[in-house]
Amino acid sequence: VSARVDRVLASLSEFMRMVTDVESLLARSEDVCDFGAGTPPELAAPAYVDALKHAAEPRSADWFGYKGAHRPAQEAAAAGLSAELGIEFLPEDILLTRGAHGALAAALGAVVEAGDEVICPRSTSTWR
Amino acid sequence: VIAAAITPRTRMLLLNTPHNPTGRIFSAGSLEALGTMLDAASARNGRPIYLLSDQAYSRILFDGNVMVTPARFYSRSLLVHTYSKSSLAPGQRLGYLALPPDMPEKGQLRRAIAAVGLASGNTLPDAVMQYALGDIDHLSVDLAGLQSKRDRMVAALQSYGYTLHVPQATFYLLVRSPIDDDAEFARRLRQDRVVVLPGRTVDLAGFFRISLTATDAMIDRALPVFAAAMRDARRPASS
Repeated sequence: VSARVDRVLASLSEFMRMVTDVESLLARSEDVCDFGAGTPPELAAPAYVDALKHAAEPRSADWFGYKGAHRPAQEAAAAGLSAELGIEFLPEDILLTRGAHGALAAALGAVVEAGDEVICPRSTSTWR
Repeated sequence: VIAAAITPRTRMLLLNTPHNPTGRIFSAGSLEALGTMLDAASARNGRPIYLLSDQAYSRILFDGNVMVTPARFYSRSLLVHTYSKSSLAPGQRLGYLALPPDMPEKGQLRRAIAAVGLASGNTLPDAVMQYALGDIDHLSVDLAGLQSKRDRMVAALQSYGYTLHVPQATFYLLVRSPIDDDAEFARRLRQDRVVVLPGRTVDLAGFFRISLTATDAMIDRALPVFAAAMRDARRPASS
């Protein structure tokens, strides 16, 4: 394991220990009140399930082929974000990612070099 | 505080608004001041400082609060959005990075981000998730339901003696642990099969976090556990 990942493991150890504890609790009992990670407690909304079902129905031979950015998805996201924030975003400026983690990784990877500093404010500095 | 942390090597500032886990929304005034400060620091450094704005909870706002993005005041903002929260489906990875229309070096950044995606094993969502995005974008969690859970839990926890603020957004409550060791306190709650996130696992020692995505039935069963755990914590060690 690289020294860098070793440091990551050390900082995650407490979190990973807790995840293991919770998993074993969930395996032993169905009566667990989970206020932990924002896990969905109930079946997904029918509208969400319908959206996935509809999207999984192939409409062309290359439906599940290698996929770059899907323009209609960029257009829909740009329209939604423009309405939300009151700024006109362009579809080509919406870079689709695997959730927020993918977006954070892509941004850091594109801009930050070894030796650069990234400032991450302490969560509760404005709270206490 | 942030201005004091900037050095000639600073390349990026990570901001999370609305903020997990405090539930605070950064005000327009504080974001405007931040933008002015970052413009000056970028000029001083001779290269731009990017603002990476994680807005994962931008559509989960309580009490009619309004989300303001730092992109309004700082053109070198990269905005992070995810559908994990608004759809309550974090296992289905879908989100995006948005570049504001007035961002300088926009084309160069778009190409760089696409290249990072390819080089790192592709950060693009699966094809099916991309096809579904148009139908998912307008979906929302039950905000009224979340807000009533928030109000019920805040009132109950405060009445037991817990210290916490009322979040303006997100689906979290950040609560001060009644004992110094929040991991120990979380273990105490887990004895009664109540799971919370201990603060020290995420660099927030002395606190724990409650996610309001739990059901009403879970809240019914958990509230007496929170009350009892507080009584235990206040009991003198000798008794």
